[in-house]
Amino acid sequence: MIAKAQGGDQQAYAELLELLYPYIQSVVRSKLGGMADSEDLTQECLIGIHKNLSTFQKDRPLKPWISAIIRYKAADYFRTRSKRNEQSLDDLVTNEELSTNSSTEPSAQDVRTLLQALPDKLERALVLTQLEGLSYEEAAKKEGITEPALRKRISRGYLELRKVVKHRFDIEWK
Amino acid sequence: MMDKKAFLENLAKDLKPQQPWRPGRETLLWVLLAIVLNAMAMLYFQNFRPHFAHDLIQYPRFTLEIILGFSFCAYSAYWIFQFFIPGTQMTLRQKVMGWLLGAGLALSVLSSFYLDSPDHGRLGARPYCLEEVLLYGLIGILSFQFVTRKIDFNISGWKYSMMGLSAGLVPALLMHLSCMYSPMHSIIAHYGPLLLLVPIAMGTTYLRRFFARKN
Repeated sequence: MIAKAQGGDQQAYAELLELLYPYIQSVVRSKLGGMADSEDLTQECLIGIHKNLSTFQKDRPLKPWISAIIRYKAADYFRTRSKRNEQSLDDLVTNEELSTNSSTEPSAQDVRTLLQALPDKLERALVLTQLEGLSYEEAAKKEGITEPALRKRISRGYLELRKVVKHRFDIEWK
Repeated sequence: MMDKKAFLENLAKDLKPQQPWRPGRETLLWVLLAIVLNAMAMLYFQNFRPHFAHDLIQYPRFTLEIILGFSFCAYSAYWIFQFFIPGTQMTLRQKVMGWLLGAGLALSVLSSFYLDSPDHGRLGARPYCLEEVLLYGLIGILSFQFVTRKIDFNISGWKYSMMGLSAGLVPALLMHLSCMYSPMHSIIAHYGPLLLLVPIAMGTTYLRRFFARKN
């Protein structure tokens, strides 16, 4: 299946990804020990597999190859997470920037304000694809980056946004 | 985080036919290209040292140094390309082989003070040999980064140093043939730049990783 995927067979590749997803998800969950970011890390791992597909050697077993990618991505995740923790969310969003309505649910205006709290690149990726309705291809072209890079930004954007929402409204966004 | 189904669909749609990564082929291409381009650049500025071919035939120690040097360079380059395959580990035998080649080269260089070597003198001296080695080595490092630009990677730090060694050894060894010969001069001006190229190779790789994460 992976050999077909390397040859450019999208159908075989989609099946392979479907098969790999639960495996990677379970490995990631065991590594993160129930942390909320396991889905994000799973997707990061799959992007890693996507980027490294050409390096898979047909005469070698698949598992060590995948395990190494998961290991790298998990190490990256923990490195980034420890840096993020140093920066308080208070620096990202101040209460004054947000509307002061009594509701605990974010209003449409708040969503815009919340997006502004994200780093520029992540904000643009989300605005272009989620609010302006551009396709990933169009948005990637507009940003001058590749589609996988755009997807990574979107994924990180959601991650950041979720933290901001949780912090401001004290609700778990799923 | 994207919806699982949409995410997998997007990845599948993004798939393009892959050119399989073959470290052996990449190494051969890289080493040959580096030798040819370095030699051309050196010739552009100045001819090779007169009688360098005679020196290679006449002095087995000198020939051995050049052979060991290029073998070590190719070996390092091969492993750098191998390490881009996730999960690749060197076996003990492969590590020992690398250390033996490196130690052999170091011994050969040191023995040049005691064993028969080409006549010491200023014949063929190049005014900027050190800077040339540094410049060509830098180009070698950049070409390494270019060849591997599409691959997502995470290699532990010390492995990057092999990139600097490989990229620096090609011009250093060619400089032995094109510049004046003197053991001390070889060590300082030809091999010396390796001390800078190794950290530069590590630096460029860390920078690349940094920007990849930022994106």
